[in-house]
Amino acid sequence: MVVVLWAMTIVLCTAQTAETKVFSVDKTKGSSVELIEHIQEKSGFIISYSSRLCLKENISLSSSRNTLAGFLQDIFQDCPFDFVERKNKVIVRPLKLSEQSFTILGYVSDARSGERLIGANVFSRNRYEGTATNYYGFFSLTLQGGSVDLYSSYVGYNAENKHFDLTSDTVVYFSLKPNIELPEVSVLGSRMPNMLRGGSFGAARVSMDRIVDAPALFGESDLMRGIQMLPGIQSGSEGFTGLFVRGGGPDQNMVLLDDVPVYNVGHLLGFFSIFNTDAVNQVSVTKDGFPARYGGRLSSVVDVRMKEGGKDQVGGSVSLGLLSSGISLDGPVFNEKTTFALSFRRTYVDALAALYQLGADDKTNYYFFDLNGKISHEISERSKIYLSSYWGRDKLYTLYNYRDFDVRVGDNQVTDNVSINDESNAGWGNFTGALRWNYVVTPRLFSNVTATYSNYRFFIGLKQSDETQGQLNSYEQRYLSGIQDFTLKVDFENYYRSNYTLRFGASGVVHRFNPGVDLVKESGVSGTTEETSVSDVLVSGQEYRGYLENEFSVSNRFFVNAGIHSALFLGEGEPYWSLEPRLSLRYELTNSTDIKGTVSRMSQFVHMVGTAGYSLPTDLWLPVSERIKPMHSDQATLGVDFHLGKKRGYILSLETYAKSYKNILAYKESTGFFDYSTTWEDKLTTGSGESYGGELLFQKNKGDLTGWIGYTYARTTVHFPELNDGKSYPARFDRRHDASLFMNYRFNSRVTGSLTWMFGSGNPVTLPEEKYYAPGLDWAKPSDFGYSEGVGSLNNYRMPSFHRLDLGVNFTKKKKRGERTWSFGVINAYGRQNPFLLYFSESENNPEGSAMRQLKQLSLFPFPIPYVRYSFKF
Amino acid sequence: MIKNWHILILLALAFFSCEKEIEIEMEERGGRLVLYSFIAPDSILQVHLSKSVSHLSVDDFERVYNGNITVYRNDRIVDDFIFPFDESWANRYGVNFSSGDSILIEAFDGSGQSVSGKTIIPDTVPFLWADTATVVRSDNKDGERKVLNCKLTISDPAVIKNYYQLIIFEQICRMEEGVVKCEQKRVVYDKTDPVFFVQSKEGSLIGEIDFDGCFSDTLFNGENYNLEVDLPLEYATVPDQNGASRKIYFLLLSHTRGFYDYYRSRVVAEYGYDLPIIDPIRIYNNIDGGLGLVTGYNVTSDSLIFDNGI
Repeated sequence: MVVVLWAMTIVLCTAQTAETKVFSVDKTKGSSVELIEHIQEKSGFIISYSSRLCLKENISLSSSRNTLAGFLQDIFQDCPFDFVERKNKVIVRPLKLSEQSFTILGYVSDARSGERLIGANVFSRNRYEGTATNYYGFFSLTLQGGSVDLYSSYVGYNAENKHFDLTSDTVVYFSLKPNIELPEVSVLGSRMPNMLRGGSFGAARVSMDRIVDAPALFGESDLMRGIQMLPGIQSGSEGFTGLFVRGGGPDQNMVLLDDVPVYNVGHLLGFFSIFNTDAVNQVSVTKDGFPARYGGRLSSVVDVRMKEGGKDQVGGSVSLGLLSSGISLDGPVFNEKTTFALSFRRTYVDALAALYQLGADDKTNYYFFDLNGKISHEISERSKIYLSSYWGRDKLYTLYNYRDFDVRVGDNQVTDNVSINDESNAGWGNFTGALRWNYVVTPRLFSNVTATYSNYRFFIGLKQSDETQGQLNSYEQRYLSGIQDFTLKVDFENYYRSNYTLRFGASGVVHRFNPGVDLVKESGVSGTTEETSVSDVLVSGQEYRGYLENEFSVSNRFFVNAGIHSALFLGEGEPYWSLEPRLSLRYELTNSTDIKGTVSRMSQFVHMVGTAGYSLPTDLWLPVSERIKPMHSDQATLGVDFHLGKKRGYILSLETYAKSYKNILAYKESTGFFDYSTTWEDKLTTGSGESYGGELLFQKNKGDLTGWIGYTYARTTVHFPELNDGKSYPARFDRRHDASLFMNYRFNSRVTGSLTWMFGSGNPVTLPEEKYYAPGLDWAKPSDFGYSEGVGSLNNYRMPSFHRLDLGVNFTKKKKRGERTWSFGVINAYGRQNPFLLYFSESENNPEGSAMRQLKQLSLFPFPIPYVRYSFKF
Repeated sequence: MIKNWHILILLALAFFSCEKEIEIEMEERGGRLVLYSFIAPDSILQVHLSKSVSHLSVDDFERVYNGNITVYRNDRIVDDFIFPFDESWANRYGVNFSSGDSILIEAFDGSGQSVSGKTIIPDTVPFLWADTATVVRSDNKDGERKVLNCKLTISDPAVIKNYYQLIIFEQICRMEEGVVKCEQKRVVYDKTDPVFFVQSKEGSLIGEIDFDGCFSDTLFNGENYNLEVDLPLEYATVPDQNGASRKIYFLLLSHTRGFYDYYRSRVVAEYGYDLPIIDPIRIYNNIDGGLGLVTGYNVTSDSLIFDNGI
C-alpha cells in the first residue's frame, strides 16, 4: 500500500504541467521578452515563442504566483494565442484567424424609410451560419475570423451582401432597398435554409403592404382585418375587428402596441381597428409555439410596432377617405441620431351628419380620432432610447331638448339670450405610453428596458342644463369604467453562439381596474360646482413574470426553441402562480420540406366581462379573485411546410392543432350580464373547453400575381357544469370551415389590383325553440309578453354560411414632390346578405287574416359598397 | 342607460343593414306540459296547466284536455281534480296550507305525459315600522320634491338564506251611494336602497332592470335591516272627498329560492326579447318533465291610513 501511494505521488509530481504547476516569480513588471525569460528561469520550462505574437515593452503581471499558463495569459492578454507542451518545452504561437471567434453586430433597416426591419435574416453564405434581427432590428452573429460574405435578406426587399475580413468584433449596418418588381405579399417570414429563424418561431408576420393594398371598407385599411384572414383566426361576426383564435375569446389575445398592452382595439363599435396603418411599421401574430418571452394571454400575441421615422429627411403622407382622413410626418429632428414619427387620423362623419341634421330637433353624431407619436434617439452605437405614445377616442352622442333662455350677465340687469340643450353620450378610448432603452451590453448581449403605461376608459354620460331665476345651472352624470396598467420589464438576448441564443427577462405589472364609478357634477344657481362620486371602487392586482428561452440548433437540420415562463399574480385574494413550459421544434426533412411541432402552456390572470358574443366597449376587464381562478390553456401543434417551385416561390403549409382550456368564464343561465343586483362574480360560472383542427395555407410570393389561399377546419366545444344541463356544447364561434383567398396582381409599376374572398360556415347561435305560458302575478307588474321562451340547448343552431368578395385597384403615380395613389374598390361585390344576427318576428307575408311568425336575419353591408381613397406620400 | 346604449348600437347597425326572412330547419318543439302554482297559507290554491308551443306559433300556449292534477301536502294527497281546459287557472277552495308545509303537485294529460313540482312554504318574516317622515329630496336632475320616506325594519332569520319582495299598494275607499267602493293600484317607489342593487363592483347608472322589489338577504343575513323607500308625497295625503280613505299597504313577501331565480331570470329574459343582439336566457323552472314553477310564499303586511272623516 505504501509503495502504491509513493508511486502515485511521484507520478503526480512529475505530471505537473504548464497549466497546473504553480510557482512564484520575483519580477512582475517589464517587457514581454524580459518577463518570458524570467518565467522560464523560475519555472524550469523552456519557452519558445513566435515573433508574430504581440510583444510589448511594458507589462504588469497580475500576480507573482501563478501557473505558467496563467503568466502567459497575462503577457499575451491582447492577442489570442495557443501553446503546446512537449516534455519540458512550451511552444507559444499566435492563433490563426480561423481559430478565433469574433462577433458581428449591427442593425438592418429599410433604405427608403430608415425603419428598422424586424425578423430580417442575416447569414453568411460561406460559413452557412446566420441569425435574424430582433424586434429592434438588431442582430449579433459570432463567426470564426477570416473572409466573410454576409448577406441580409427580407421578404419584399433586395438582399444586400457585405464582404469583409473578420479580424475583430465588427459593427455592420444593412440598408435594404424595397424590391419594387416583386412586391411583398407574403404573410410568413421567408425561408432561410439551414439557419436559425430568430423571431420567426411561431410568429406569422403580416405584411403592411398587403394590408394597404387590400380592398377595405370605406377605404380604411385595417390591419386587424388582415390578421383575420390568417388560417385559425376568425372575425367572430362579420364586420367586427375582434379576433377569435383557435376557439379562444377576444380577451385571450394580447395586443401589444410597442410593447404596451391595448385593451380595446376597436373604433366605431369594433368595425375598424384603432391602428392607423400609416403609423405601423410591422405586425406579427403568434398563435402557437409561444416563445417563453410571451405570456399573459391564452390564445395569441399580436405585436404591433410603430414606425420610428426616417433619418435622411422629413417625409410623410396625407390620405383622404370617405370616413376619415389622416396625416403622417416623420424624419430626423436635428440630426440623424434623433427621429420622430407622428400620425393623426380623424373621422368627419360628425361634420357631414351635422349638415344633414341641420334644423333637426335631436342630433345624433359620432366621431373618432387617433394620434400616434414616436421619438427615438441614438445615444451611441450601442444605446438607443424610444418614447412612443398612442391616444385615441370614440364618442357617440345625441343632443336634444334645445331651448332658448334669457340669462342674467353678472350683477347687472343685463340679460343675454342663450341656447342650451341636453346631451347623452357614450365613448371610449385608449392612452398608451412606452419609454424604452436598448443597450448592447456586450457584442453578444442585447438588453431592452421598457416602462409602459396603458389606460383604457369607457364612459356613458348625461348632461342636462336648466335655467333658474335667470341663472344657468347644469347637471352632469357620467359612468366610467376602465383599466390602467403600469409595467416595467427588462429583456436580455445573449447571442452566445451562431447556433445558440439565450433570452431571459422579467416584468412586473400593476393593474388598476375600475369596474365602474358614477360621477355627478352639479353647477347650481349660486355659481358653485359640486362633484360627487358613487361606487368608486378600485380593484388592483400585481402580475410578475419571468422567463428563460433557449433557441438553438441541434444540427444543420434540427432547430429548437425551448423555454420556461413563470407568472405570479398578487391580488386581493390568494396569490396565484403558474409555470409554463414552451417547446418548438423544426426539422428539415429535405431541402424543401420542414416539419414542425410545438407544445405550450399559457395562463391568464385578467379577463373580460362582457355581453358575451360581441366585444363591445362596455366590456369590463377584471382580475382573478378568490372565486374566479386563472384561465389556463395547453396547446400542441404539428405541421409541415413545403417550399415549392423553381425559386421556391410557393409555400404550402399544413398544420394541425389540439388545444384545451381550463377555468374559462361564461355567464350563468338565469342571470346574465344584465342582472345588476348580484356581484359580478355571482354572474359568472367557470368551465373548460377544447379545440382542435387543421389549417392550410398556400402562398405564392413571386411574380406579378401573388397571393394566398387559406383554409381552416376547426371544432371547439365547451363544458360548464352549470350551463346547458352540464352537457358540452359548441363554443360561440365554433366555425367548422373557414376559407380566405387573397390575390394581388401587378399590371405595371403604376397599377395594382387586389381581390379578397372570404367564406365561413355558420356560427352557432342559440335560438328559442318553444313558447309557453307566462303567468301574470298578482303581486308583480304585468308582463309586456304573455309568454316565456324555452331554449332547448345552448348554441343549438347554426347561422347560414357567409361569403364575400371585395375588389380593389390602386393607381400610383410619381409626382414632382412625391407619389400619389388613388384607390378604388367595392366591398361585397356581389351583394351577399350575410347573417349578423337572427331573430323571430311576425312575418310580413302573412295571408290576409292570419298571423305567422318567421325567423329573420339581419345583415350588415348587404349591398355592394364602393369606396375611394386618395393618398399622397412625400 | 345601458339599454339605450344597445339601442344606439342597433341604430348604428341599421344604417348599413337589412333584414330578410330565412329558413332554418328547426326542431318541432313544443307540446311539453307547463305547470304553475304559487301557494300561500290561507289563500285559494291556484294551479295552471298548459302545453308549450313551437316558437313559430302565434299562440302563446296550448290548452290541455283531460289534464289531471294531484296535490300532496306533507306526502298526503289533499286534492285531486280534472283540470278545467277552458280556464287558465283552476281555483281550488278548501285546501289550506301552513308555513313549512311540503307540497308536491303532479299532473298528467290524456297522452300520458306527466310532470311534477314541489316546494316548501317559507315562514313569514315580520317587519316593523322604524320611521315615516316627509322629507325633501333635492337634485338638479329632478329638482326639489317632497317624498314620504318609510323605514321598515326586517328581522332576517339567521342561518337560512331568505328571499323577499316588497310590494306597495294604494287602496282608496270612497262612500258612493251608501256603499264603500275601493280601488287598488300598485305604487311605484324608488328602489334606491342598496338591497335592490348589490353595488360592490358595478355602477348604479347601468342598474336599470327593475326586479319589481325582489331582493335577497345578501347584505344583512341574520340581522335586523332598516330598509328605506321613498314614496311620492301624493300617497301621504288625505283624499279630498269627505268620507274617503287612503290606505298604503306594505307587503313583504317571503319567497323561495326557486321563485327568486324564476322571477329574476324571467325579467332578464323579457328584457332581451326585443333586443336580438342579446342571447336568449334560460328561465329557471323546477318542474320535472316539463316547464313552469311550483313555489310557496308567505306574506307579512302593514299599512298607513290617511282618513278624511270616516
